[in-house]
Order: sequence, then C-alpha cells, then structure tokens
Amino acid sequence: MAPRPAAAAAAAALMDELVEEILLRIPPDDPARLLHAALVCKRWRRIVSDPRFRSRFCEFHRTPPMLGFIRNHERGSSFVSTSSFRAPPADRVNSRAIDARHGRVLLQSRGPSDHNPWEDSFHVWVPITGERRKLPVLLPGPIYPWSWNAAVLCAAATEGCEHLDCHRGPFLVVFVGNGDVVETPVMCAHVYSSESDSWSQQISAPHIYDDLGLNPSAFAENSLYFRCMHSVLKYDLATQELSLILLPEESFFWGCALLMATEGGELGLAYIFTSRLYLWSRKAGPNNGAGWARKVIKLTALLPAHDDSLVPMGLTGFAHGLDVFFLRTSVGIFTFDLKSIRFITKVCEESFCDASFPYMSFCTPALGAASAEGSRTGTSNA
Amino acid sequence: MASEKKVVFLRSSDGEAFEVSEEVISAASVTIKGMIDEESPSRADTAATTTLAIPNVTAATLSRVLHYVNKHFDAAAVVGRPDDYIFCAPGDEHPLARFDDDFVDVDNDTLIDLVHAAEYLHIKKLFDLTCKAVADKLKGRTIDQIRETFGIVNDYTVEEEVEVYRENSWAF
Repeated sequence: MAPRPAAAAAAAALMDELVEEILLRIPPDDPARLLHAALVCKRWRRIVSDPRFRSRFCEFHRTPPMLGFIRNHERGSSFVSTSSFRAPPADRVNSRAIDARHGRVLLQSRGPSDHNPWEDSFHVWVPITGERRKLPVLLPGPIYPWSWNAAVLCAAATEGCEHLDCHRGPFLVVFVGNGDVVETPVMCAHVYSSESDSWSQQISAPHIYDDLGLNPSAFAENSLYFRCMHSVLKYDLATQELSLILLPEESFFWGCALLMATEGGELGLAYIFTSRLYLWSRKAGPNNGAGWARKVIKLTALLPAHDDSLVPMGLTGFAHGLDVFFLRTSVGIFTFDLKSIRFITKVCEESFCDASFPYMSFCTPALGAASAEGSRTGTSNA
Repeated sequence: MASEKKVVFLRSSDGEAFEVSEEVISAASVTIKGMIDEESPSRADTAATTTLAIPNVTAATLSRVLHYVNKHFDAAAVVGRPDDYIFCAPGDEHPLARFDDDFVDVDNDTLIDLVHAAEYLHIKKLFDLTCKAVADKLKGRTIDQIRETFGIVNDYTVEEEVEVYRENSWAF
C-alpha cells in the first residue's frame, strides 16, 4: 500500500529535532528497534549515529537496561538474551563467566593448568561491541586452585562514574585468593589495570583466612565483596585493604547465599529456604560497628498455586541497580523483581545453572563506516 | 477576584475558538503562559476575556490537546500528584495511565500533529507522551513497514545498507 499523501507530508514535516526526540524514547532494552530506525533513511541514520545522540540516550534513560545474562553450565557459558539484543557469537565454549559489571564480562577459559586455573586464562569481553581483551598471565603465588574469585569493574567506580557509557574506558579486574605461605594461611589480592595492562603487586592480609568460592561478587560502598565459607571478604578499592565481615548468626544457609548491593547501596545477602526469600542488609551501627537487618518474602504467595514444579531452588544472580533476582527452578530460570515483588518472566528453559551474570548496558547501533561517507564527519559510537 | 475563574479563548489555525481556564492552560503550556503574561498589563482590571491566536494548530488537534490539558492540569480533576509517570508499564498504578494510553491510540497523522502541537505549545508531558507513542509505533515493524508508516523513501544504496548490516550483524 502506498503511503497516503497526508502521512508523507506529516513525516516530512518531522524536523530532525523531533525525530531525535522520538528515537530517544525507544526503550533501551530494544536496541534492534533503534537499529531499524537508523536503516529507515540516511537522515534518521545521521541522527542516530551522532555521538551526541548516544550520550543523550544514556542520560535520558539513566539506568542501563538488562540486555541478557551469561549462564554458566556444564559445557561452558551462554549469553541468554532478555532483550532484542543478540550477543555476537564468541568462543565461549570452554569458558565460563566469573563476573559481569559495568558493561563488561570477565571470562575464564579452561587454562593450560588445572593446578593454577586462573593462569593465562582471563578475558574481558564487551558483548555490545564484541571486543575481547586477554589479560596477561597472573602469578599470584601459592593460592589454592579451588579457592579464589575475581571481579571486573569500571576503573572510575570510586570516582563517581555513573556507568552509563563507560564500557570503552579503563577497567580493573580484582583477583582474590587464599592459600598457605610457609604454612601460614594468607588471603591476598591482585588488581589488573587495563591502563597499564598489568597486574599489581600482591596485596596480602596474613591475619585473616576463609575459603573463597566462585560465586557472584557484589560492589557496594566503594568495595568489592566476595563470599567465603563463613564470612564475606571485603576489598576496599580506596584503601586497597582486605578484611573479613562476619555473617549474621544463622549461618547454616550461607552456602547458597548470594551477595548483593541493596537499593540503599549497602552490602546485602540473600538466600532461599523453604520457598522464602531471606534478605539481609548490613546497616551501619553506633561505635563504627555494623549490624544485619533481615527481611523475609514468602515466594509461595507469588507462584501459581497449582504448579508444584515451580519450586524456587536457589538464587543464581542479581541485577544490581535493577534489583532483579535470578531464580533457578526445576522448569527453568525466572527473574524476580524485588521492587515490585513479583515474578516477571521465565528467561531460560534450562534449569541447570551455577550462576547467572546479568549483563546491563546501553546499546546503540554501530554506524561507523556507514556514516563516514555521510554528510557529517561523526565517527561511530558503540 | 480570586474566586472568579478566569478563562481565555484559543483560536485555532482554522478559526475555531476554544475556551479554557487560564490557570489550567498556564500550568500546562509554557508558550500560552508567556502569551498571557504579555497580554496581562493591558487587561489587568477589565473583565474582558482574551483570545489568543494559535496559528500552528488546527481545531481538531487543539481540541484534543485541551482534552489532555483539562485532564492532566486541572487540579480539581487530577487525582494524586502529576508526577513523571509515563514510563510506567501498562497496568501500573497512575490514575491517568489508562487515559494516556487511549489518548495516543490514534492514527499516525493525528499523533504527529499532536507531537507538533505539544512542541509548539511547550507542554512537556504531552510532548513526552506523544513522542513515546510514536517510538512505540516503530516496535515490531520491519524497516519497510516503518518507511510506509511514515511515508519515507529509502535513500540507502545497497552497499550502504550492507555495511550497516555487517556492522550490526547481531540484530539480523
């Protein structure tokens, strides 16, 4: 059907500024729609490809959308999309996600050495651009091969970066581990900086000790937190110090607890027991102390009563900033929105999952080469 | 005087006049508030009503705009605070969410006329709402369908198109 003259006239009358205002309001979790808009005509492409558009788009929507999550499973890891974004195929077979934050994913490929599995095996991947950087070999000293963890984050995380569009900026990878140094137990950290492309000297804390596990870490109050067997290891990015935080008393379920940053920006812990979600947050107390506050949410009330298979079996991940949990059930993975307290969607049919690492980032189309010969000289974004 | 409700008349581009509360339209439209402020010294103590010419907006569009304005900016009609709620999902609690959904459920031409009117009259909430509604019309449509909807002629060469496809292969 040919467009009616009136429609043509109306669209022609849509000045660039109005087209920009309209395209700005495309939901950020539908990057394919923005790309389709850019392909409508060259005028629309010019609007979308202008670097100013990307920064306005990020400012307008404020919270990076969840584009998908990385699911670790027995064969490696997969990017499961929860938006119209599809991650470009990467050689993720034989590699697992260790962390994802601020638009980047930390992957570990099965290294050459089972003895030191972190050796020669860390990559940082930016799914929206497909960029991948291999980190130099880390030689952390006598660390137990089963007791370590690592996290990736924007290098400006302690300097007030809002992480709206920092995926091309410098980043850090923090590795923590524990082991024995001449029969003295020790916990240590190494920090990789993308700017120097090197690992720092070892930061060690000889007086603390607990076994680390490969669980999703949390970033809160300028510190990274890693779950240990009986406590939480804190790495303070400002002071570069390691310390242990004691857990609340009832420690029986910590083995399946997930670390998180609460809405108030404090360290939080969550686990599921008998279809109840237990949420703990660490509140600052008097005399420099801190205590834990607990909240319990009955999940059974939110589940379809007739569906026995929908028993939440455990938490596999948490989308910081969006306050969305990933729950493993026998029939797949679901997301649970803590803000509205409701199940949103089944996001994956597969129920096998060690950990889910939500991937949040703004994604605007790459229009570099196509724009270069255009009327403007703007270079590509994304 | 305070108890007396002042009204103004807005004359559309095609000559039709619409009555609206001065207080309500001033709260809604930055443009009209500016016009009223300019007029006011000359009519300070007169009972005469003012007629303002709105040369860029037709009667059909203006009547829709005023329907929106009366619903959203008339303090007596508004339930709760007129917060920035338009990005709530459908079904969310804002009392006017349903009204807004129905309001923008119109054909393209009407919608685009409303975008223009909201921009000219500087009614931010209406501008947000209508721009978002146009953006929603792009959802789930193919590129050809979008062109058809907006009457746009494709000016890409095949090579240029291929280049964009190549750079964004994830989306296809």
